[in-house]
Amino acid sequence: MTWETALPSRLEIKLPSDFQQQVETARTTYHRLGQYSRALEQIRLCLEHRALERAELERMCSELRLPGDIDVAQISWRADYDPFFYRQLSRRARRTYLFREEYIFDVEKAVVVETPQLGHATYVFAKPRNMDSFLALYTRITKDDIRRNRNNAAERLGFLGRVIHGTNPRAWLKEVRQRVGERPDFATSIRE
Amino acid sequence: MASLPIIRERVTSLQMQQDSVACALSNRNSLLVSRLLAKHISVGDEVTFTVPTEDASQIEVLITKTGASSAPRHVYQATIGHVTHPKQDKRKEYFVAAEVRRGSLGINSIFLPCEVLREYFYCLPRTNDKADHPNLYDVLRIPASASMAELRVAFKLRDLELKTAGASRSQQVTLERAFNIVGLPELRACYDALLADLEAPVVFPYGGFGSLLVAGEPSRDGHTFFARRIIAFSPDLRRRLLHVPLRRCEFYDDRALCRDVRHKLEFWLDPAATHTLWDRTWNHWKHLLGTKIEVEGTFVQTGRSANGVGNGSL
Repeated sequence: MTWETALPSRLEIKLPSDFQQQVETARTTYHRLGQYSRALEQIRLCLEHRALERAELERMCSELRLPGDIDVAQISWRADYDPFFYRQLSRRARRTYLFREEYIFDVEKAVVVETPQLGHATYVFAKPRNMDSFLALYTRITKDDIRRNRNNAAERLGFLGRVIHGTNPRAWLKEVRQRVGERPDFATSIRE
Repeated sequence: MASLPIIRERVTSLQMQQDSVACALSNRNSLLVSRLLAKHISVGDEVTFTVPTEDASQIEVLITKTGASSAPRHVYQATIGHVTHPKQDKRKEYFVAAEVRRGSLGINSIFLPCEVLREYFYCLPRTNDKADHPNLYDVLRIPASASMAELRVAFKLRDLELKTAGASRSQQVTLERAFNIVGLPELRACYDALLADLEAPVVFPYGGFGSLLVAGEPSRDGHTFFARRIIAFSPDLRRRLLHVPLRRCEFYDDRALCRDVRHKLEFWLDPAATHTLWDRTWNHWKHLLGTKIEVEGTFVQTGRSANGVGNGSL
Protein backbone atom coordinates (compact mmCIF):
# COMPACT_ATOMS: atom_id res chain seq x y z
CA MET A 1 0.00 0.00 0.00
CA THR A 2 1.46 3.35 -0.95
CA TRP A 3 0.75 6.68 0.59
CA GLU A 4 1.76 10.19 -0.39
CA THR A 5 3.69 12.60 1.79
CA ALA A 6 3.98 16.35 1.33
CA LEU A 7 7.41 17.83 0.81
CA PRO A 8 7.92 20.17 3.79
CA SER A 9 9.42 22.85 1.55
CA ARG A 10 6.33 23.03 -0.67
CA LEU A 11 3.53 22.94 1.86
CA GLU A 12 1.16 25.85 2.32
CA ILE A 13 -1.56 25.84 4.96
CA LYS A 14 -4.55 28.16 5.20
CA LEU A 15 -6.74 28.22 8.28
CA PRO A 16 -10.37 29.38 8.20
CA SER A 17 -10.96 32.91 9.44
CA ASP A 18 -12.92 31.70 12.47
CA PHE A 19 -10.33 29.10 13.41
CA GLN A 20 -9.56 30.46 16.88
CA GLN A 21 -13.25 30.71 17.67
CA GLN A 22 -13.85 27.11 16.60
CA VAL A 23 -10.93 25.94 18.72
CA GLU A 24 -12.30 27.78 21.72
CA THR A 25 -15.78 26.34 21.16
CA ALA A 26 -14.44 22.78 20.94
CA ARG A 27 -12.29 23.23 24.02
CA THR A 28 -15.21 24.71 25.98
CA THR A 29 -17.56 21.92 24.86
CA TYR A 30 -15.05 19.31 25.99
CA HIS A 31 -14.78 21.02 29.35
CA ARG A 32 -18.56 21.27 29.69
CA LEU A 33 -19.12 17.62 28.79
CA GLY A 34 -16.64 16.67 31.48
CA GLN A 35 -18.13 19.04 33.99
CA TYR A 36 -21.65 17.63 33.58
CA SER A 37 -20.64 14.05 32.83
CA ARG A 38 -22.80 12.57 35.59
CA ALA A 39 -25.98 14.14 34.27
CA LEU A 40 -25.05 13.20 30.73
CA GLU A 41 -24.50 9.60 31.79
CA GLN A 42 -28.06 9.55 33.15
CA ILE A 43 -29.36 10.72 29.78
CA ARG A 44 -27.23 8.16 27.94
CA LEU A 45 -28.71 5.49 30.16
CA CYS A 46 -32.21 6.57 29.05
CA LEU A 47 -31.06 6.48 25.43
CA GLU A 48 -30.10 2.83 25.79
CA HIS A 49 -33.80 1.91 25.99
CA ARG A 50 -35.66 4.76 24.29
CA ALA A 51 -35.23 7.03 21.33
CA LEU A 52 -35.60 10.62 22.46
CA GLU A 53 -36.32 13.61 20.30
CA ARG A 54 -34.02 16.62 20.37
CA ALA A 55 -36.61 18.90 22.05
CA GLU A 56 -37.28 16.30 24.72
CA LEU A 57 -33.55 15.94 25.35
CA GLU A 58 -33.21 19.69 25.71
CA ARG A 59 -36.00 19.63 28.26
CA MET A 60 -34.25 16.83 30.15
CA CYS A 61 -30.98 18.75 30.09
CA SER A 62 -32.75 21.76 31.49
CA GLU A 63 -34.28 19.69 34.29
CA LEU A 64 -30.85 18.31 35.13
CA ARG A 65 -29.58 21.90 35.23
CA LEU A 66 -27.27 21.52 32.30
CA PRO A 67 -26.31 24.80 30.63
CA GLY A 68 -28.29 25.65 27.51
CA ASP A 69 -25.24 25.96 25.25
CA ILE A 70 -24.60 22.21 25.24
CA ASP A 71 -25.63 20.78 21.87
CA VAL A 72 -27.66 17.65 22.68
CA ALA A 73 -26.25 15.91 19.60
CA GLN A 74 -22.95 15.77 21.51
CA ILE A 75 -24.49 13.39 24.05
CA SER A 76 -24.09 10.45 21.68
CA TRP A 77 -21.11 11.79 19.76
CA ARG A 78 -18.01 9.65 19.68
CA ALA A 79 -14.43 10.60 18.89
CA ASP A 80 -14.31 8.68 15.62
CA TYR A 81 -17.60 9.97 14.24
CA ASP A 82 -17.46 11.90 10.99
CA PRO A 83 -19.48 15.13 11.13
CA PHE A 84 -20.02 15.05 7.36
CA PHE A 85 -22.64 12.27 7.52
CA TYR A 86 -24.38 13.84 10.51
CA ARG A 87 -24.42 17.32 9.01
CA GLN A 88 -25.83 16.22 5.67
CA LEU A 89 -28.76 14.39 7.27
CA SER A 90 -29.29 16.91 10.02
CA ARG A 91 -29.87 19.74 7.56
CA ARG A 92 -32.57 17.67 5.84
CA ALA A 93 -34.29 16.50 9.02
CA ARG A 94 -37.54 17.85 10.39
CA ARG A 95 -36.96 16.10 13.69
CA THR A 96 -33.88 14.33 15.07
CA TYR A 97 -33.93 11.54 17.62
CA LEU A 98 -31.05 10.04 19.56
CA PHE A 99 -30.97 6.33 20.32
CA ARG A 100 -27.91 4.62 21.81
CA GLU A 101 -25.06 5.67 19.52
CA GLU A 102 -27.32 6.40 16.59
CA TYR A 103 -29.12 9.38 15.17
CA ILE A 104 -32.60 8.93 13.72
CA PHE A 105 -33.57 11.61 11.23
CA ASP A 106 -37.19 12.21 10.29
CA VAL A 107 -36.77 13.71 6.80
CA GLU A 108 -39.51 14.79 4.38
CA LYS A 109 -40.25 11.45 2.74
CA ALA A 110 -38.35 8.92 4.82
CA VAL A 111 -36.71 8.04 8.10
CA VAL A 112 -32.94 7.65 8.13
CA VAL A 113 -30.92 5.94 10.84
CA GLU A 114 -27.30 6.96 10.95
CA THR A 115 -24.15 6.00 12.84
CA PRO A 116 -21.83 8.64 11.40
CA GLN A 117 -18.75 6.52 11.33
CA LEU A 118 -16.75 4.94 8.52
CA GLY A 119 -17.49 1.24 8.27
CA HIS A 120 -21.15 1.71 9.14
CA ALA A 121 -24.11 1.99 6.82
CA THR A 122 -27.05 4.38 6.64
CA TYR A 123 -30.43 2.64 7.00
CA VAL A 124 -33.34 4.15 5.09
CA PHE A 125 -37.01 3.48 5.90
CA ALA A 126 -40.26 4.60 4.31
CA LYS A 127 -42.03 7.45 6.08
CA PRO A 128 -44.16 5.79 8.81
CA ARG A 129 -47.72 6.81 9.50
CA ASN A 130 -46.94 7.05 13.17
CA MET A 131 -43.40 7.92 14.23
CA ASP A 132 -43.93 6.78 17.83
CA SER A 133 -44.95 3.28 16.69
CA PHE A 134 -41.95 3.18 14.36
CA LEU A 135 -39.58 4.13 17.17
CA ALA A 136 -41.19 1.68 19.58
CA LEU A 137 -40.60 -1.15 17.12
CA TYR A 138 -37.18 -0.01 15.98
CA THR A 139 -35.80 0.21 19.52
CA ARG A 140 -36.83 -3.40 20.25
CA ILE A 141 -34.98 -5.06 17.38
CA THR A 142 -31.48 -5.22 16.00
CA LYS A 143 -30.01 -4.19 12.66
CA ASP A 144 -29.43 -7.85 11.96
CA ASP A 145 -33.16 -8.51 12.45
CA ILE A 146 -33.87 -5.83 9.87
CA ARG A 147 -31.34 -7.16 7.38
CA ARG A 148 -32.65 -10.71 7.70
CA ASN A 149 -36.31 -9.60 8.05
CA ARG A 150 -36.76 -11.70 11.19
CA ASN A 151 -40.43 -11.69 12.22
CA ASN A 152 -41.03 -9.43 9.24
CA ALA A 153 -39.16 -6.64 11.04
CA ALA A 154 -37.94 -5.06 7.80
CA GLU A 155 -41.43 -5.11 6.29
CA ARG A 156 -43.08 -3.69 9.38
CA LEU A 157 -40.54 -0.87 9.55
CA GLY A 158 -40.75 -0.13 5.85
CA PHE A 159 -37.04 -0.84 5.34
CA LEU A 160 -35.96 0.52 1.96
CA GLY A 161 -32.30 -0.39 2.06
CA ARG A 162 -28.95 0.68 3.37
CA VAL A 163 -26.20 2.86 1.99
CA ILE A 164 -22.63 1.97 2.82
CA HIS A 165 -20.50 4.98 3.75
CA GLY A 166 -17.65 3.83 1.53
CA THR A 167 -14.64 5.91 0.66
CA ASN A 168 -16.40 8.53 -1.43
CA PRO A 169 -18.72 10.76 0.64
CA ARG A 170 -20.22 12.34 -2.49
CA ALA A 171 -21.27 8.94 -3.77
CA TRP A 172 -22.83 8.18 -0.38
CA LEU A 173 -24.74 11.46 -0.41
CA LYS A 174 -25.99 10.94 -3.95
CA GLU A 175 -27.25 7.48 -3.05
CA VAL A 176 -28.92 8.67 0.16
CA ARG A 177 -30.67 11.50 -1.65
CA GLN A 178 -32.07 9.06 -4.15
CA ARG A 179 -33.19 6.66 -1.44
CA VAL A 180 -34.98 9.32 0.60
CA GLY A 181 -36.81 10.48 -2.51
CA GLU A 182 -35.18 13.87 -2.71
CA ARG A 183 -35.50 15.70 -6.01
CA PRO A 184 -32.20 16.36 -7.75
CA ASP A 185 -31.21 19.96 -7.12
CA PHE A 186 -28.43 21.01 -9.44
CA ALA A 187 -27.44 24.09 -7.46
CA THR A 188 -27.21 22.14 -4.20
CA SER A 189 -25.27 19.30 -5.71
CA ILE A 190 -22.66 21.72 -7.02
CA ARG A 191 -22.37 23.38 -3.62
CA GLU A 192 -21.97 20.06 -1.86
CA MET B 1 1.41 -8.96 -22.73
CA ALA B 2 4.13 -9.67 -25.31
CA SER B 3 7.56 -8.39 -24.32
CA LEU B 4 8.99 -5.56 -26.39
CA PRO B 5 12.07 -6.25 -28.53
CA ILE B 6 15.29 -5.09 -26.91
CA ILE B 7 17.41 -2.79 -29.05
CA ARG B 8 21.16 -2.75 -28.50
CA GLU B 9 23.12 -0.35 -30.70
CA ARG B 10 26.25 1.80 -30.71
CA VAL B 11 25.98 5.59 -30.59
CA THR B 12 27.44 7.21 -33.69
CA SER B 13 26.72 10.86 -32.86
CA LEU B 14 24.89 13.12 -30.42
CA GLN B 15 22.78 16.04 -31.52
CA MET B 16 21.38 18.67 -29.16
CA GLN B 17 17.69 19.46 -29.49
CA GLN B 18 15.42 21.88 -27.66
CA ASP B 19 14.77 19.88 -24.46
CA SER B 20 16.56 16.65 -25.21
CA VAL B 21 19.43 15.09 -27.08
CA ALA B 22 19.12 12.81 -30.11
CA CYS B 23 21.54 9.89 -30.09
CA ALA B 24 22.13 8.66 -33.61
CA LEU B 25 22.54 4.89 -33.59
CA SER B 26 24.50 2.51 -35.80
CA ASN B 27 21.24 1.10 -37.25
CA ARG B 28 20.49 4.65 -38.53
CA ASN B 29 17.68 5.18 -36.02
CA SER B 30 17.92 7.70 -33.25
CA LEU B 31 17.00 7.74 -29.56
CA LEU B 32 15.87 10.84 -27.71
CA VAL B 33 17.28 11.11 -24.19
CA SER B 34 17.26 13.82 -21.53
CA ARG B 35 20.15 16.26 -21.41
CA LEU B 36 21.20 14.86 -18.06
CA LEU B 37 21.45 11.32 -19.39
CA ALA B 38 23.18 12.55 -22.54
CA LYS B 39 26.05 13.89 -20.41
CA HIS B 40 26.90 10.27 -19.66
CA ILE B 41 26.76 9.04 -23.24
CA SER B 42 29.73 9.25 -25.59
CA VAL B 43 30.14 8.30 -29.24
CA GLY B 44 30.97 4.60 -29.38
CA ASP B 45 28.99 3.69 -26.23
CA GLU B 46 26.44 0.93 -26.51
CA VAL B 47 22.84 1.77 -25.51
CA THR B 48 20.27 -0.87 -24.66
CA PHE B 49 16.59 -0.02 -24.54
CA THR B 50 13.14 -1.03 -25.68
CA VAL B 51 10.74 1.15 -27.66
CA PRO B 52 10.90 4.40 -25.69
CA THR B 53 7.95 6.28 -24.26
CA GLU B 54 7.29 9.90 -25.14
CA ASP B 55 8.91 11.23 -21.97
CA ALA B 56 12.69 11.01 -22.44
CA SER B 57 13.29 11.06 -18.66
CA GLN B 58 11.09 7.99 -18.11
CA ILE B 59 12.71 5.53 -20.52
CA GLU B 60 14.61 2.55 -19.23
CA VAL B 61 18.05 2.60 -20.76
CA LEU B 62 21.36 0.90 -20.05
CA ILE B 63 24.55 2.49 -21.34
CA THR B 64 27.72 0.45 -21.64
CA LYS B 65 30.80 2.64 -21.78
CA THR B 66 33.64 1.74 -24.07
CA GLY B 67 36.34 3.98 -22.58
CA ALA B 68 39.04 2.26 -20.48
CA SER B 69 38.65 4.27 -17.27
CA SER B 70 38.34 3.19 -13.66
CA ALA B 71 34.83 4.65 -13.50
CA PRO B 72 31.85 2.23 -13.59
CA ARG B 73 31.35 0.89 -17.09
CA HIS B 74 27.56 1.11 -17.00
CA VAL B 75 24.99 3.83 -16.49
CA TYR B 76 21.40 2.77 -15.94
CA GLN B 77 18.22 4.84 -15.93
CA ALA B 78 14.95 3.35 -14.74
CA THR B 79 11.66 4.19 -13.07
CA ILE B 80 11.76 2.82 -9.55
CA GLY B 81 8.99 1.96 -7.12
CA HIS B 82 9.30 1.00 -3.49
CA VAL B 83 12.78 0.93 -1.92
CA THR B 84 13.37 -1.51 0.94
CA HIS B 85 14.62 -0.67 4.41
CA PRO B 86 18.38 -1.07 4.89
CA LYS B 87 19.63 -4.64 5.20
CA GLN B 88 23.09 -6.08 5.71
CA ASP B 89 24.84 -7.97 2.95
CA LYS B 90 27.35 -10.83 3.33
CA ARG B 91 30.11 -8.34 4.09
CA LYS B 92 27.98 -6.79 6.86
CA GLU B 93 27.53 -3.62 4.85
CA TYR B 94 24.15 -1.97 4.60
CA PHE B 95 22.28 -1.65 1.33
CA VAL B 96 18.76 -1.00 0.08
CA ALA B 97 17.04 -2.49 -2.96
CA ALA B 98 14.84 -0.46 -5.32
CA GLU B 99 12.27 -2.29 -7.40
CA VAL B 100 12.39 -1.42 -11.10
CA ARG B 101 8.94 -0.53 -12.41
CA ARG B 102 7.83 -1.26 -15.91
CA GLY B 103 11.31 -2.61 -16.67
CA SER B 104 11.77 -4.49 -19.89
CA LEU B 105 15.54 -5.02 -20.01
CA GLY B 106 15.41 -7.89 -17.52
CA ILE B 107 16.67 -5.84 -14.55
CA ASN B 108 14.28 -6.26 -11.63
CA SER B 109 16.02 -4.35 -8.88
CA ILE B 110 18.79 -1.88 -8.17
CA PHE B 111 21.05 -2.49 -5.17
CA LEU B 112 22.21 0.71 -3.55
CA PRO B 113 24.83 0.57 -0.77
CA CYS B 114 23.92 2.93 2.09
CA GLU B 115 27.11 4.91 1.51
CA VAL B 116 25.77 5.77 -1.94
CA LEU B 117 22.53 7.12 -0.39
CA ARG B 118 24.54 8.93 2.27
CA GLU B 119 26.61 10.73 -0.33
CA TYR B 120 23.76 11.71 -2.65
CA PHE B 121 20.80 12.44 -0.37
CA TYR B 122 22.40 13.27 2.96
CA CYS B 123 25.37 15.15 1.49
CA LEU B 124 27.92 13.34 3.64
CA PRO B 125 31.24 12.37 2.06
CA ARG B 126 32.29 8.71 1.96
CA THR B 127 35.54 9.33 3.86
CA ASN B 128 35.67 10.58 7.39
CA ASP B 129 37.13 13.99 6.49
CA LYS B 130 34.12 15.95 7.61
CA ALA B 131 36.19 19.11 8.07
CA ASP B 132 34.92 22.00 5.94
CA HIS B 133 32.00 19.91 4.74
CA PRO B 134 28.78 21.72 5.70
CA ASN B 135 26.03 19.54 7.12
CA LEU B 136 22.36 20.13 6.32
CA TYR B 137 21.87 22.29 9.42
CA ASP B 138 24.77 24.47 8.26
CA VAL B 139 23.04 24.85 4.89
CA LEU B 140 19.94 26.09 6.74
CA ARG B 141 22.14 28.14 9.11
CA ILE B 142 20.50 26.78 12.23
CA PRO B 143 21.72 24.63 15.13
CA ALA B 144 20.90 20.91 15.09
CA SER B 145 18.75 21.36 18.21
CA ALA B 146 16.22 23.58 16.38
CA SER B 147 12.51 22.78 16.58
CA MET B 148 10.39 22.04 13.50
CA ALA B 149 9.03 25.58 13.50
CA GLU B 150 12.51 27.07 13.78
CA LEU B 151 13.67 24.92 10.88
CA ARG B 152 10.83 26.19 8.70
CA VAL B 153 11.51 29.80 9.59
CA ALA B 154 15.22 29.30 8.89
CA PHE B 155 14.40 27.75 5.51
CA LYS B 156 12.06 30.57 4.55
CA LEU B 157 14.58 33.22 5.58
CA ARG B 158 17.51 31.59 3.81
CA ASP B 159 15.38 31.02 0.72
CA LEU B 160 14.50 34.71 0.70
CA GLU B 161 18.17 35.67 1.18
CA LEU B 162 19.23 33.50 -1.75
CA LYS B 163 16.51 34.85 -4.01
CA THR B 164 17.34 38.43 -3.08
CA ALA B 165 21.05 37.84 -3.67
CA GLY B 166 20.31 36.23 -7.05
CA ALA B 167 21.94 32.96 -5.97
CA SER B 168 22.35 30.11 -8.43
CA ARG B 169 19.65 27.51 -8.97
CA SER B 170 21.91 24.83 -7.50
CA GLN B 171 22.20 26.76 -4.21
CA GLN B 172 18.42 26.99 -3.97
CA VAL B 173 18.03 23.30 -4.78
CA THR B 174 20.62 22.41 -2.11
CA LEU B 175 18.70 24.47 0.44
CA GLU B 176 15.36 22.91 -0.46
CA ARG B 177 16.80 19.40 -0.35
CA ALA B 178 18.34 20.08 3.05
CA PHE B 179 15.00 21.21 4.44
CA ASN B 180 13.16 18.27 2.90
CA ILE B 181 15.48 15.92 4.78
CA VAL B 182 15.61 17.58 8.21
CA GLY B 183 12.03 18.91 7.91
CA LEU B 184 10.58 15.41 8.06
CA PRO B 185 10.93 13.85 11.53
CA GLU B 186 11.76 10.31 10.35
CA LEU B 187 14.43 11.52 7.94
CA ARG B 188 15.78 13.96 10.47
CA ALA B 189 16.19 11.14 12.99
CA CYS B 190 18.03 9.15 10.33
CA TYR B 191 20.25 12.09 9.49
CA ASP B 192 21.02 12.87 13.14
CA ALA B 193 22.01 9.22 13.64
CA LEU B 194 24.33 9.56 10.64
CA LEU B 195 25.97 12.65 12.08
CA ALA B 196 26.69 10.69 15.25
CA ASP B 197 27.87 7.57 13.39
CA LEU B 198 28.73 7.76 9.72
CA GLU B 199 28.28 4.00 9.36
CA ALA B 200 24.67 4.05 10.60
CA PRO B 201 22.15 2.56 8.13
CA VAL B 202 20.18 5.10 6.13
CA VAL B 203 16.83 5.02 4.40
CA PHE B 204 16.05 6.09 0.86
CA PRO B 205 14.23 9.41 1.46
CA TYR B 206 10.46 9.20 1.08
CA GLY B 207 10.70 5.50 0.21
CA GLY B 208 11.59 5.72 -3.50
CA PHE B 209 9.16 6.20 -6.44
CA GLY B 210 10.68 8.22 -9.25
CA SER B 211 13.25 8.18 -11.99
CA LEU B 212 16.70 7.00 -10.90
CA LEU B 213 19.94 7.38 -12.83
CA VAL B 214 22.86 5.38 -11.44
CA ALA B 215 26.37 4.29 -12.39
CA GLY B 216 27.50 0.76 -11.58
CA GLU B 217 27.48 -2.77 -12.91
CA PRO B 218 24.74 -5.25 -13.77
CA SER B 219 24.87 -8.69 -12.14
CA ARG B 220 25.99 -11.71 -14.18
CA ASP B 221 22.43 -12.95 -14.60
CA GLY B 222 21.35 -9.43 -15.58
CA HIS B 223 18.48 -9.28 -13.07
CA THR B 224 20.12 -6.85 -10.64
CA PHE B 225 22.03 -3.63 -11.09
CA PHE B 226 24.68 -2.88 -8.44
CA ALA B 227 24.87 0.91 -8.16
CA ARG B 228 28.13 2.52 -7.13
CA ARG B 229 26.92 6.09 -7.48
CA ILE B 230 23.60 7.91 -7.82
CA ILE B 231 23.84 10.42 -10.63
CA ALA B 232 20.33 11.80 -10.27
CA PHE B 233 16.99 11.01 -8.71
CA SER B 234 13.80 12.73 -9.71
CA PRO B 235 10.80 11.80 -7.53
CA ASP B 236 7.28 11.52 -8.94
CA LEU B 237 5.65 14.77 -7.80
CA ARG B 238 1.98 15.59 -7.57
CA ARG B 239 0.53 18.98 -6.81
CA ARG B 240 -2.53 18.72 -4.59
CA LEU B 241 -5.06 21.05 -3.03
CA LEU B 242 -7.26 19.54 -0.34
CA HIS B 243 -9.24 20.35 2.76
CA VAL B 244 -8.42 18.21 5.75
CA PRO B 245 -10.42 18.10 9.01
CA LEU B 246 -8.17 19.13 11.85
CA ARG B 247 -9.51 16.27 13.95
CA ARG B 248 -7.50 13.90 11.74
CA CYS B 249 -4.26 15.35 13.13
CA GLU B 250 -2.21 13.80 15.87
CA PHE B 251 -0.88 16.66 17.94
CA TYR B 252 2.57 16.64 19.50
CA ASP B 253 4.16 19.51 21.37
CA ASP B 254 6.05 21.07 18.48
CA ARG B 255 4.43 19.37 15.49
CA ALA B 256 1.34 17.55 14.28
CA LEU B 257 0.90 14.66 11.89
CA CYS B 258 -2.11 14.93 9.59
CA ARG B 259 -3.31 11.75 7.95
CA ASP B 260 -6.09 11.48 5.41
CA VAL B 261 -6.89 7.77 5.28
CA ARG B 262 -9.41 8.22 2.49
CA HIS B 263 -6.90 9.76 0.09
CA LYS B 264 -3.87 8.03 1.63
CA LEU B 265 -2.08 11.31 2.21
CA GLU B 266 -0.03 12.44 5.15
CA PHE B 267 1.95 15.52 6.06
CA TRP B 268 3.55 17.17 9.05
CA LEU B 269 2.44 20.51 10.40
CA ASP B 270 4.45 22.84 12.55
CA PRO B 271 3.44 26.08 14.27
CA ALA B 272 5.38 28.16 11.71
CA ALA B 273 3.28 26.69 8.88
CA THR B 274 -0.04 27.37 10.58
CA HIS B 275 0.84 30.43 12.70
CA THR B 276 -0.88 28.70 15.59
CA LEU B 277 0.44 27.07 18.72
CA TRP B 278 -0.91 23.80 20.06
CA ASP B 279 -0.04 21.08 22.53
CA ARG B 280 -0.83 17.41 23.13
CA THR B 281 -4.04 18.21 25.04
CA TRP B 282 -5.66 19.10 21.68
CA ASN B 283 -5.87 15.35 21.07
CA HIS B 284 -8.45 15.11 23.90
CA TRP B 285 -11.05 17.30 22.24
CA LYS B 286 -10.09 17.40 18.56
CA HIS B 287 -13.12 15.22 17.70
CA LEU B 288 -15.33 18.16 18.69
CA LEU B 289 -13.51 20.38 16.22
CA GLY B 290 -15.34 20.55 12.91
CA THR B 291 -12.95 22.92 11.19
CA LYS B 292 -10.94 22.03 8.09
CA ILE B 293 -7.62 23.39 6.95
CA GLU B 294 -6.73 24.11 3.36
CA VAL B 295 -3.60 22.28 2.32
CA GLU B 296 -1.78 23.03 -0.89
CA GLY B 297 1.44 21.23 -1.58
CA THR B 298 3.62 18.96 -3.61
CA PHE B 299 3.27 15.32 -2.63
CA VAL B 300 5.54 12.38 -3.31
CA GLN B 301 4.70 8.70 -3.09
CA THR B 302 6.14 7.02 -0.04
CA GLY B 303 7.03 3.46 0.86
CA ARG B 304 4.51 1.01 2.19
CA SER B 305 3.53 1.87 5.74
CA ALA B 306 4.93 -0.44 8.37
CA ASN B 307 1.54 -1.60 9.54
CA GLY B 308 -0.92 -1.09 6.73
CA VAL B 309 -2.47 2.26 7.42
CA GLY B 310 0.67 2.50 9.40
CA ASN B 311 2.72 4.71 11.54
CA GLY B 312 4.20 6.46 8.57
CA SER B 313 7.69 5.19 9.22
CA LEU B 314 9.76 5.11 6.08
